[in-house]
Amino acid sequence: MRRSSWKTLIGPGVLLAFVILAVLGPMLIDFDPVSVNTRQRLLPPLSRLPDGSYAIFGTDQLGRDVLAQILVGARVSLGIAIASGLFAALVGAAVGIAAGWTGGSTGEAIMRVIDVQLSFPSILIAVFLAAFIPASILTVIVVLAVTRWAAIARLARAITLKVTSQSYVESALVSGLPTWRIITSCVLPNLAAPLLVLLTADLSLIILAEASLGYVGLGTPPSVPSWGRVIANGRNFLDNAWWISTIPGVAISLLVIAIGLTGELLRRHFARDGWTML
Amino acid sequence: MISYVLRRIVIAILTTMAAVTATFIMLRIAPGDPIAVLLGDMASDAEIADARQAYGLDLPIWQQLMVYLGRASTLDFGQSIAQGTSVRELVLSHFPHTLLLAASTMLVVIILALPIGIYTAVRKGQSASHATNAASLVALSLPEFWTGIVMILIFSRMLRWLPSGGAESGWSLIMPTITLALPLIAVNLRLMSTETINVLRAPYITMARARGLPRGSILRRHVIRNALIPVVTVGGIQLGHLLGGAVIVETVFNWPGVGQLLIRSIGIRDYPVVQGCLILMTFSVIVTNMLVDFAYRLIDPRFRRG
Repeated sequence: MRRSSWKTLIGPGVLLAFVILAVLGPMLIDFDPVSVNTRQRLLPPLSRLPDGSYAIFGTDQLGRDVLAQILVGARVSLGIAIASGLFAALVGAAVGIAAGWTGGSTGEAIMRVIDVQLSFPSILIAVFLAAFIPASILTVIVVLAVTRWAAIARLARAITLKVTSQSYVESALVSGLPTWRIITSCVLPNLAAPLLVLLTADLSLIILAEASLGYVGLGTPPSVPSWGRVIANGRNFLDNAWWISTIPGVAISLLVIAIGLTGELLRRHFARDGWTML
Repeated sequence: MISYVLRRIVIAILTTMAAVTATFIMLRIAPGDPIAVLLGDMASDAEIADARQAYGLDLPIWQQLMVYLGRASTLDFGQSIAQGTSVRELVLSHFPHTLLLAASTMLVVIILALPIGIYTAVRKGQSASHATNAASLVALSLPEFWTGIVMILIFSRMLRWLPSGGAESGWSLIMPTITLALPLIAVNLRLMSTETINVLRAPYITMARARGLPRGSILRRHVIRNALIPVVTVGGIQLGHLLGGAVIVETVFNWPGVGQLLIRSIGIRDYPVVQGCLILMTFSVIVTNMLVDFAYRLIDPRFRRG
């Protein structure tokens, strides 16, 4: 990396910290985030709890520790975002490569569907689907993947079309290499870098969308604490407990900013190697 | 142009029908009997039988779809379960609020994003442009509903300047507008800035400079007008997204628009209203996108002749 200063590493560093907290956090904190303890309701940040420990980010109206909810929420939000991003990437890449490879009217038809989907706000599509399907973690993953696969498919098709017009693919075809071999050895390597950059941007969008769905009650079921849900819960206590809504929002924003910086870093890195986003 | 307009209208109608069909399919995917889902738990057997006939559920599935499409074309989804009023009236009475919020947001975005975008392009590489870049990254990373809550906390709870929700006075419009505008300003500002930089590099600008035209006149007559073309397209798409996607912000501020009605109706399983909202929102997105395409062709001279 050219002139790699410590500043460029802030983004990936914060992202890494979030991943570590999401994985280890719930284990480190000996606290049940959904247990109710009315003796320690609505305590401000840095209060001392009856059991002698400190509630660094305060407690909510049921006496639940906000920090613990953020840590469990980090695991839920990151888990959902990664699962749904990978799902969207898998489906999008498969459809996009197929559309680009076969070309012709089928490919065109698929692209039309994708263009139509992309003309709608993704939150409307997510609400549309979530309105009719009962809430579960799997539902959220699928719904969010549906909102993101189209852009990935469009990218995959464009790359496939570009690659298949190259002479090395023609010679591979002439030499009788099976289609799947050409796709794995010619198309996929060309797709990897731009897909990674797009997927990073998608990860941010998915995290924001998941939180939004959680906020309006269409996200994970009530038993699973997600960031959006905690913020929605604190909305009713703005007068006497500002910390319930605000602090988890800072966590979401920090994570999304960190992902944005990481994505920018990846994009620049690949651009230097001669990769360009289509 | 006329054949293009006609083709676009046909595509818009087909897209609307596809969206309505999607709602039809989702109603059937939803667990339980569609009529039981539609009417809720409190419906009597007679009501269920009536509804079954009204929706033509005794007919073959494709005829059911035709009946549904016919009813959807007039937003006829019967009565709201919760309020007992006609779904059409309920949904249409919320629509002006969504329209107002979308319009005020776009206005704020245009007033702020365009001048700042041009300014940062002219001052490329200076600290002002770095600052706006950083600010746009942050603006795009904040969850909308959270920005809204923080504003409520500061401006209505602590300072008591603005109402925290509802639409009783013009003051209620301010916070939802700013919340929605913030990320859009970030996007449009960057776009305006890149486009301006691109146009500034074009040979005809060098030519204009060589002819000795005054700087302000070059900027106004050549740079800005050309740089605006892509921004207008993106702005139009954003307007469509505001009409169909202000769901979250409307909910945060309890703004009585279609999005807030949609979320509330999902929460109480008022499915006739849910359908009405979804179809009105998808329709307004489709119509806006179509109008944007027309506008784009009108303002871009390259399209006028072809």
